[in-house]
Parts: sequence; C-alpha cells; structure tokens
Amino acid sequence: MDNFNDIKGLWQNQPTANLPDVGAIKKAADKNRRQIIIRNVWSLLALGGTVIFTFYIGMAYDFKFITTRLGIMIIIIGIVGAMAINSQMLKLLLSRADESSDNQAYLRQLIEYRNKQRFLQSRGMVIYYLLLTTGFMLYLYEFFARDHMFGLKAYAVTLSWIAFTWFYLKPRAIRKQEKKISDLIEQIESISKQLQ
Amino acid sequence: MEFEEIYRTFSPKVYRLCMGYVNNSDWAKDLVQETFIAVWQNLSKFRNESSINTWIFRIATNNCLRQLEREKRFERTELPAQLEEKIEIKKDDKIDFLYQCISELEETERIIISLVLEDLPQAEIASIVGMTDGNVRVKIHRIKEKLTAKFSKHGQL
Repeated sequence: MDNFNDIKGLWQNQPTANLPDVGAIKKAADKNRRQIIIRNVWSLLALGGTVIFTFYIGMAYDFKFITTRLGIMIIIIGIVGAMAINSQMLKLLLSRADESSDNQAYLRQLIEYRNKQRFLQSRGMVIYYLLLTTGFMLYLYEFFARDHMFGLKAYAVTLSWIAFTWFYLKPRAIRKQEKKISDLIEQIESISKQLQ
Repeated sequence: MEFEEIYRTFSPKVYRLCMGYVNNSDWAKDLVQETFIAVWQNLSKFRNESSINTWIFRIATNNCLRQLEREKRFERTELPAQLEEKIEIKKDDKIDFLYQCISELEETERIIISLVLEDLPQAEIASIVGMTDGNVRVKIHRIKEKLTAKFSKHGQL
C-alpha cells in the first residue's frame, strides 16, 4: 500500500457487516411510532387528570374563603408547569431540527433548541416560585383569618422555607442545569466551527 | 425507489460511515437502525429536491453528530500501544486500524473522509455537510494527508 487509493480500496472491499434485515427495521420503526403515540396519549391524560383533580380539590372541601381554593389551584398549576418544562414534552414543542438538512444547518438548529431550553428553564423557575409563593399566601389566608397567631406562624414557616429554597437550593439547581446546557452548546459549537 | 432497495443499497455504506464516526460496531449498528427508521418514516417527504444519496447521508451524518447529546453509551477505545510493534497484520486488523485512525480525527473530518472513501463527488459532500465546494476541497486534501500520515507512521502503508 502506498497511497490514499490503497486506503480507499481497503475501505470499499471490507467484508459487509452483519446488519439486521429490512423487516426488523420496519418493525422497529412501527414500534418507535407506537411508543411516541402512547407517550403523547399519556401526557394528555396526565394533563387532563391534573386539571380535573385541581378543580376537585378546589371544590370538594368546605373552605369558607375563595382564596383557599384559588391558592391550591395555583400551587398545583405551578408544580405541573415545572414538571412539564423538565419533561420530554418540551423537546417535542421546541425542537424543529430537520434531520435532512445539511450538517451545518442541523447543528445550528440544535444550538437554537438548547438556547430556547435554557431560556425557558431559567424563566420557568422564577414563574414556578412566584406561583408557589402566591398560592401558599392565598391558601394560608383562611387560617390566618380564623386564628391570627396560628396563621402568622404558618406564614413565617412557609415563607422561610420558600426563602431558603430560593436563596440556597435554586441557585444550585440553576447552576447545574446551566452547566449541562452550556457544555452541550459549547460542544455543538466547536463541531460547527470545524465546518467553517 | 422502494425502501427495501434503498436499505439494501445504502445500509452497508451507512454502517461504514457510522463505524468511521464511533469506531464501535454495536453502536454503529444502532446508528444504522436509527438512520433507516428515520428514512422509512420520512420517505414520503422525500421530494427529489436532492439526490437520494445526499438525502440519506444527511440523515445518517446528522444522526452521528447528535450522539454528543446522549449519554456516553460506549467509550471509544484508545489505540493499543503494542499495535506499532506488530509485524504481520491481517486484512481485518488493517480495517480495524483504519477505523481507529479515522476515529482519532475531528468529528466532521470523520464524516467527510468516510464520504470520500464512499466515492461521493466533492459537490455532494459539500451539500451534505453544508460547506462551500472550495472549502470542502481544501478540507478533503488536508484530511487525506493526515490519514495517510497516520497510516505510514504505524508502518501500514
């Protein structure tokens, strides 16, 4: 062997690998499609179930004040929203990567998606805390109105817990998320630069 | 073109491309499967805007590039030191060595050189990776030199 053509010869004359037959590929494709449909149905069911559950909780108990029901609903909306942002559902909504575009364009789409994800996660976290705080404030109001002392204590405990998570746990969680996404973006960008 | 025919024609080529990219045959087989699932599901969307060659290789190479988003399922193995001392090397070992050399290149270099080895015209490679013809030409030249040098260094040429 003395030049690149020999390498090419070696490449093209290598024995064919033992690949699955075409039937297996089609079967895998159908399975894949079914899984996506099932996942979507489950997401819809979970969402519908949560809405019904929220209203049930809001209405079922004999609370005197509308603020209590409203508080519970806001808390549940906050929790479900946070779960949705962290789930795979987000990828389906945000990612528009077209697999048949050229590599350069495809990498750009991947970066775009990660940036959107980063934006949504940091904003989403703030909204989640706002909803949670508002929800608890409203929820506890009825207890405060009935018994000022007990209400004040409940407010103090809840607010300190929220403050602790906001000032201590949240920055850590955000830093971790942030690092994961920026590492990925950095890697994609470095590949993309190879093509310039 | 029917899917069966596409699969028969392109699966060995896509497998070699994926092997060049990941240098791990199980992983490469998974990539072949993922690529052809995408081909099968999107075949109706293929409108002859590009050649079927370009279309399939775009899907396959994008799928390779996307691997960095996943957990490292398989670690690429490092070149064993004793390989340099081997005097007689069989054909299979030579192919292993070729994949090893390719896997040491940068990500997009691995893709480009595999497409070159598959005998794709430069213009088509340019439209798969999204570079200008001129840039691809320069890049191909450099990668060929790098690869040939690696081969000669280990006494394989």
